[in-house]
Amino acid sequence: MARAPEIPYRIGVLGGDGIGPEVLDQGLRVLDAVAGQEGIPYETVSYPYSGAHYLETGELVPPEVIEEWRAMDAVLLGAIGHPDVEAGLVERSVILGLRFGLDLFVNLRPIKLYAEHLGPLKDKGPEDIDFVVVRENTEGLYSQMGGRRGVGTTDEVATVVGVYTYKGVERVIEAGRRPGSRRTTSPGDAGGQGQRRAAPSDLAGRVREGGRGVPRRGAGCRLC
Amino acid sequence: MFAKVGAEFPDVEQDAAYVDACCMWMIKNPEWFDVVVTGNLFGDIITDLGAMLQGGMGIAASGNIHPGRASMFEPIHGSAPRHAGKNVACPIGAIMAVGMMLEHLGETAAADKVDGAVTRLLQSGRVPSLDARSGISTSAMGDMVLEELG
Repeated sequence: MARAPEIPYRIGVLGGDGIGPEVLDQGLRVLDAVAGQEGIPYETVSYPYSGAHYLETGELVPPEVIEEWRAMDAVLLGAIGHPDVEAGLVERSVILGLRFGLDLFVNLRPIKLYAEHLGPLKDKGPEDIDFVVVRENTEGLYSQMGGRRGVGTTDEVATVVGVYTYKGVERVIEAGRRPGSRRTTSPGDAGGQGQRRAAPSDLAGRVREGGRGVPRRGAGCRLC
Repeated sequence: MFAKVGAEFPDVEQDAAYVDACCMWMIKNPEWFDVVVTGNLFGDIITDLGAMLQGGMGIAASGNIHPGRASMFEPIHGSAPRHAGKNVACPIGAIMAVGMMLEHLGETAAADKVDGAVTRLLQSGRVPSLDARSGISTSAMGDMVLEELG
């Protein structure tokens, strides 16, 4: 995805709420320093969307802003969530707006311990804890399907539908399959529910490289 | 599906597991894992377990990715209102998010530099923990990473 060096990357920045702006400021300082060292041109565009912004203006993320983000190279987010705003309202607008608006179907989570004293496990160091989780990010319980009936009565029924499509499952497994990785593990559930074993949530993969931790970068996690 | 895609990558060992067993192995034998591919719900659970293995919410970052297209990067922690404005939150997760973004953009050398700076800092022993009680302010932690970056 590297581009011609003279064209700056365009990066959207959403500090968000609470500690989000403070921590992201430090991230941006590091970005500025390393971009300077490596000669990477970039420009940032800041966006105000947050619980605080909603309280002040009543504004959530407008559809045209999602379009703007889609045309950028990347978006950096601090954190979203304000104690005085109805839980989930702004989170849905920003986080689900990004996730579905940009079809971000992979949630990539490197799990790497950098120094033994920071980890909680006895006798496990950086060479032991170094893997990535490739989590599907748009299906399952994010289907937004389901509903409630008889609310407030003892006959109340609530359903949440987990959706797994062939295409959705295939593309996330593809994303997790990288040359250079040695083992992919796919965790699902059994628990005596035989019929569910056919469900794509039954994917889990553990990839092992000779029983040791793998070199992180460029190993099994490169998605693009 | 897992087996079908796996057949195209014969040098990658495939392993299906149950999520409950996966949680146990992540604690007992974390060195077994290289890539874990899973659905949304189980992924939500095991990535938080994973965050604890790597030192807590203060360092964990995630990429919300569409390969080849605009993607979003973030520290996984929440807004932590009780710490807001006090300059005590750990910014390492946000810094790692920037590193992931650079890698996604194909700027591998820059991503490696960020990773290297954080590695050197954390291995130096100067950072006792990755939370708001480390005794190192948000901005001072940023300074320390910048120092390591050179």
